[in-house]
Amino acid sequence: MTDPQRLIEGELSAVERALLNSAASDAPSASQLEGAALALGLSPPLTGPWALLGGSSGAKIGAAVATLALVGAGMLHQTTASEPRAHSVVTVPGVVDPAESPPASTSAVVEIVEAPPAPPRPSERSGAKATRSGSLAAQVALIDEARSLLGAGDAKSALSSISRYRVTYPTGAFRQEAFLLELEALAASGQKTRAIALGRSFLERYPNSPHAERVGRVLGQAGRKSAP
Amino acid sequence: MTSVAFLDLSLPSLGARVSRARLQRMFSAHYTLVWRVVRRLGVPEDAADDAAQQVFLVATERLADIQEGSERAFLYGTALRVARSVRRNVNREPAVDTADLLACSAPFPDELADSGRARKMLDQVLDLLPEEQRTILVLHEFEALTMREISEVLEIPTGTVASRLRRARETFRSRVQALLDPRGAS
Repeated sequence: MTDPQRLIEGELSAVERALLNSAASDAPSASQLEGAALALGLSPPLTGPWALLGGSSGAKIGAAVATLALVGAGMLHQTTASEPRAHSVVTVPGVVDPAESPPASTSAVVEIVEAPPAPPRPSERSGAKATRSGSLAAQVALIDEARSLLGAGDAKSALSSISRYRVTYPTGAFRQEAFLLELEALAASGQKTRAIALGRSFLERYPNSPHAERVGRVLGQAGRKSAP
Repeated sequence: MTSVAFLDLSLPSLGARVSRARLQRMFSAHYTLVWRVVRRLGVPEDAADDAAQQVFLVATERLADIQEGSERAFLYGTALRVARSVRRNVNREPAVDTADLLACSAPFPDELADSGRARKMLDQVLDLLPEEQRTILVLHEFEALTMREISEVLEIPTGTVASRLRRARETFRSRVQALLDPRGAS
């Protein structure tokens, strides 16, 4: 299987590129590395000129230095390694609190009808913050619930979750995902005509959506299955 | 008895020295990667050191079971489990709501030249992804693991890796759009 090109190597918006690039420079500081090495009874990775020798060479030299140090000062290292380590262990299985579920609705929306969007301006920023505050996590929980139900083969319940999302968040941030999930749920439950109508509306409304390709695929499959 | 104890401490066995040297190599080559992976998988900055060290403690205990050449896959796999555990722990604490974080700090595009700010937003977007999508996105897009390597780490078929990656990319881009323009883009 040929590996796909990484996102960062393809066409991206400036924001997407900035976000992906930002991860590359994230690394523990030299003092954090030293602390970790100490806690584990090891030597910190080499930095400075030694590091220029390359990862594997530097690592080999580091290991050799560490081994020599261990042999030369066996008792000291043995003692260090057997002492309680200076770290706090972070385990513990937990229970994730379920997100608060919005009220149920019995309506199912097929057509994409929305209030016209207004692009946010810097001067509106504080208002936008207030609107988003407290709702995004709940929105994501409901979208994820629909996705899980659909993944488990329960298209009917998935449609119910999507309907609740739409009623609770008529201008929600994840409307495209809601439509995509609805389209897939309709197709999965045999409602091909509605699925095709919704898919076409989606592509007209969001031709540049990240989901457009998948919508096209689902539409193609639904079209083939509904053909005589 | 005294002489035996002295010998044990002053002359570590060859096996112990080899193991320690191997662990040192793993640490030197992969500690930063492990640290970065646990960060991208949602471990808060102030817990990242502990989480990364936890991964190497597991490696220390399981060193004899790790096949030569499989060290990186083992460390990544362990990092995923440790990060999941830490996230569960963090998620039980209601003090910080992801949505509140986003509302307070989601920047506009011209502010993303600051990589620290961009990284904060990146982590907030990743927080909004389903875990299985986030994991694959992090391993492929940030750590540049191949489909085959991810398949080994997650112990799932490469076809599943590929389909999950497609969905993860869609969701990631969709949620970036949604956060930047919650009323218009999505």
